[in-house]
This record gives sequence, structure tokens and C-alpha cells, in this order.
Amino acid sequence: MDLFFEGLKNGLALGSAFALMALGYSMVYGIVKMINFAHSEFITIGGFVSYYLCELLLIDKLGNTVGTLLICLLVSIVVCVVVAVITEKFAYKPLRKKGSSRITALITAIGVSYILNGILNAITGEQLVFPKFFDSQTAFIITIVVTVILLVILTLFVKKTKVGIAMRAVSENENAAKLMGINNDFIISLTFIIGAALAAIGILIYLLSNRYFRFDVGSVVIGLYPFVAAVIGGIGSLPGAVLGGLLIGLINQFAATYGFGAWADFIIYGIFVVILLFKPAGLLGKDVREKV
Amino acid sequence: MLKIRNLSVTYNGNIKALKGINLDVHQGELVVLIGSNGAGKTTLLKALTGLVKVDSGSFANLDLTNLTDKRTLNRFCGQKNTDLLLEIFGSSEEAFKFLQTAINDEEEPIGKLSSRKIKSLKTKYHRYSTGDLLRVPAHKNIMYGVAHVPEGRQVFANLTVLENLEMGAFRRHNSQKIKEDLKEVFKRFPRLEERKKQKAGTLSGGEQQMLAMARAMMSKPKILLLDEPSMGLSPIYVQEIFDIIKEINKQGVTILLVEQNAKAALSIANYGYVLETGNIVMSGDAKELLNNEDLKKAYLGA
Repeated sequence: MDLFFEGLKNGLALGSAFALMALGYSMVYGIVKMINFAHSEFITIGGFVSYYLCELLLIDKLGNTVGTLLICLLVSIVVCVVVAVITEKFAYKPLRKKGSSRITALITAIGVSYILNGILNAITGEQLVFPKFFDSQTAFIITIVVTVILLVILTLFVKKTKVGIAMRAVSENENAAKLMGINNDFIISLTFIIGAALAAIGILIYLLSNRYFRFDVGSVVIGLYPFVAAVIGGIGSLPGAVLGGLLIGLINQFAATYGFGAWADFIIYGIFVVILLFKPAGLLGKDVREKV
Repeated sequence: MLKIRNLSVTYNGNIKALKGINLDVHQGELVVLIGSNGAGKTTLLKALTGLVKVDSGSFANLDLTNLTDKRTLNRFCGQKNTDLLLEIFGSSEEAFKFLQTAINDEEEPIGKLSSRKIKSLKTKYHRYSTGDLLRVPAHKNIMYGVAHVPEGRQVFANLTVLENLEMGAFRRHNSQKIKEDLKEVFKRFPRLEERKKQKAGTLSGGEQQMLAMARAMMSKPKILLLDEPSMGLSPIYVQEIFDIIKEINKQGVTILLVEQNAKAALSIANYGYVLETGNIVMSGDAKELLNNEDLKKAYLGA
């Protein structure tokens, strides 16, 4: 039974981080209908910024305190947002304006991902160790609390605020939204901003429990999990992204706890394929039929 | 109010969808543009609101400067400034005369209006009262008082009826006024009120058309562009929709209506144009067109 709770706890913590990261994929897809593969690099950048702030600046002066973490959080959010906005403005937006095909945008996204990854690798390819802030119990509680609060805020924003409703309007019909006076470029930028901020928060939460990382934490170690989470849950659906993230986190950790760690990916991707066979739009995704 | 000159649209570099359209819509009029499928009717409206690119030399002047009523003043200045202006100038006509004067670098403050405020009000008026509509980006048309109800309704199916209407008022900020207008809209479209919590995608075609029009009205337009509102609707709904269009027009909203249902459209319009493969081939008083023999044969099914 102890093993079970161990797996549950670790799974929920890891799943929460995946969920926050998956929201970035899902929201951007919902609005722009493009899979932003550079999102995994936003995740790594967030981790790097937090790490270097801790190592070079804060730990000596402030110690391993919540204050240090908060500064890391704010700065890494800002940096991730700036990188995301620049990426959107210079790599994706020009394509959109030219009306290029989705496959072009996808290849560009992969290209941007490798470019950013190359830069991070050049900064340091070494194994880094994120400082220890909390014992695993506290880290778990913080992870859950932060995730729940963020999800509530995000849901209220999308459901209740004027800009949130406009976001859903743009995701459904770009031209009709324009006719309402909604500036699509603003909504798209905002979506990238929210996604990048969640990536920064997600990686910080991840690093609280998984302290060893490298430049490939976003692209390889975490890798496709958040993306797969978004697809399993139903890409474009916010509750879906969360459900997918938790599911993957739990499977991954239960497998590790019961000694099947090596089989984790086999199980996750097996379930992934089966779910998509029966529900191609994902667990909570809607089968959207174009109405004529 | 709207003066379209030499409007041409070319698709893919060689398909001429519109070949130099000239068309006028005067203030308060209900003008109908009829034509068969593929004549270019939808393209014309899309060009006006910036959804398709126009050829160089095209021109569509929007002129709101002879609108001097209180509601228009409110549109440009907001409720608070409107009240101040009315207090100072006595009438909306006089207030507009003042707004139309040239902008000085150093405006004299008047009453409670500071120099900066006056400058910003004048600038806003100069920017949005007149200009070439074809140069306005799609999402800014609504600032110029232009609302476009697109072909096939295009309501937001996954948003509720109420959310759709809120999106119509996206650029407006006086929540009190928006609430009042919402009440008015529900009075005109009681069926929308019954279904306000429902997703728009669950409405019938006729209800969706009403929602699309109500949504456009929520922006308080000066000119309404309607693209085939009767398309695919049962005869009962068609009659209802045309009655509503007539009523909206009577309340002072200028309308450019694009229709295939020539007879019904001409019977409520002041003036009509006939579009054929990108050219205006006929125009005249709506009543005259209704009795025109050639037109009867081609469009009125007589």
C-alpha cells in the first residue's frame, strides 16, 4: 500500500508539471491550429533561467527560501514570454500572413526548436543540479496547490472574461472574430504568452522534485510527454490537457514505483495509440465537423 | 455615406471577381445588390471589410460627417464626454461643428474639457468619421461604424447565444449601455432570450441568422452589410428576417443588403443594383427594378 501511495504522490506531482506544460501546446493549437514544437525549448529555457538565478545570484544571498523561488519564477516567466513573443513575431507570424500551409508552419516550429536547443547546448551541455528547496512532501503539496490555483484562474479567464471569450471566438472562426473588432494578432500573442508563462511555472515545479537536468530536459527527458498529454486529452481542450498530463504522470510513476520503469513509455504510448483508435479527437476533445 | 468607386478584386493573379464597381449608399437608405451565384456579391462585402485584398485604384469612401445626432456623438465620445459636450454646446449639431474644426497644437480648454481631452476627441472624430474603408484593417471596421453579417451567418457555434452577443459589443466599454442594448435586442428577438444560455450551434438556421444580425447590432453600427440573410431559410423565416431588416433600417441604420432573393429584397429596398460576373449591369429605384421586364425574366421568376 505504501508503494501505491508513493506512486500516486509522485505521479500527481509529475503529472501536474506535465499538465501545465501541455496547456501551452493545447492553447496555441486551439487558436492557431499549429503545433508549436518550440514549446519544449521554452520549457528548458525556463529551467535554465531559474537554475542560473539560483546558482549565481540568489542562493548565496537569500538562501534556499521561498523568496528565491519567487524571484526565479517571475524572471523565468518574463524570459520565456519574451522568447515566445519573439519566436511568434519573427518565425510564425510572417508565415501566417502569407497564408502558407500548416506543414510549413510545423517544419518551421521544429526548426526553431532545434535552433533554441542548439543555443542551450552551447551555453552548457553539462549535467546541472537544481538546488534543493523542500523535502518531497512539501514539494508535492506546493505542486498540487500551484497547479490547482493556476487551473482555476485559467478556466475562469477563458470562460468568463471578455478577452477569454474572444479567444474562444478566434479559435472557432478567425474572420468572424475580426468582424467583431477582435484583433487576432493580439489574441495569438496572448496565447503564446500564457503558454510560455505556464511552461516556466511547469518546469520550476518539475525541478523541485527532479533536480538533475541538462539542456535536453525539455526536448528529450520531458520530451513529447506534454504534447502527447495534450493530444490524449483532446488538443484544444484545457481540461483535456490537464487530464492527459495527470494520466501520463501517474502511469510513468506507477511503472517506476512497481519496478517497470523501463516499460513506462511502452505503456504510455500503447495507451495513447489505443485511445486515439477509439477516440481520435482525444478523451475530452470534440469531433469538429465543419458546418456548411 | 458610402461611395464605392472602381472597386476591383483579382483572385490568384488572374481571376477577376470584381471589375471596377461603382456604387453609392446614401445615409438612411436600404440599398440592395442582387445577382446570381458567383456574380461577386460576397466578394464585394468582403472587400469592404478587409477580408479580401482589392486591386490598386479601388476606393470606397465612408463619410459619417453629416451624422450629427446624439447617438453618433455618443459613439465617438462616450457617454461622459457626450454629456459634457452637450452641456457646453447645447446641441449635438453644435458639438459636431466644433469637433469638425481643425486640430490645434494648443487647444483652449473649455469648461471641464481639458486641452488634451479636446485634442483626443477631435483626433478620434477626424480619424473615424471619414476615410477610405478599403484601407481599414478588418478588425477595425467596427470602430468606423461598419458591421458585416457574413455569408452563412458564421455565429460562434461553441459560444452561448449571450457570449455571441457580448462579442458583438467587443469594442464597446460602457457595460451599462451594453446591458441596455442587450435588453433591446432581446425585445426584438425574444427567441434569442429564451435560448441565451444555449450554444449557438444548437440553434436552427433561422435563429442563427437572427443571432448573427443581433450580434452585429450590438456594435451599434451606422452601416450594416448583410450577406444573403435569407439563404437556406424556410419561407416563414425569410419573411421575418426581411421584416426585421426593414425595421432596423427605419431606426436609422443604413443598410447594404446582398441577396439572391431579388423579389423580397427589392420590395423592402430604396434602391437596387444588379451584379453580373463582376460588373454592375443595371441600377435604379427598387420599384422600377421590380417592374423591369428584363429583370423579371432573369431574377424574379416571372
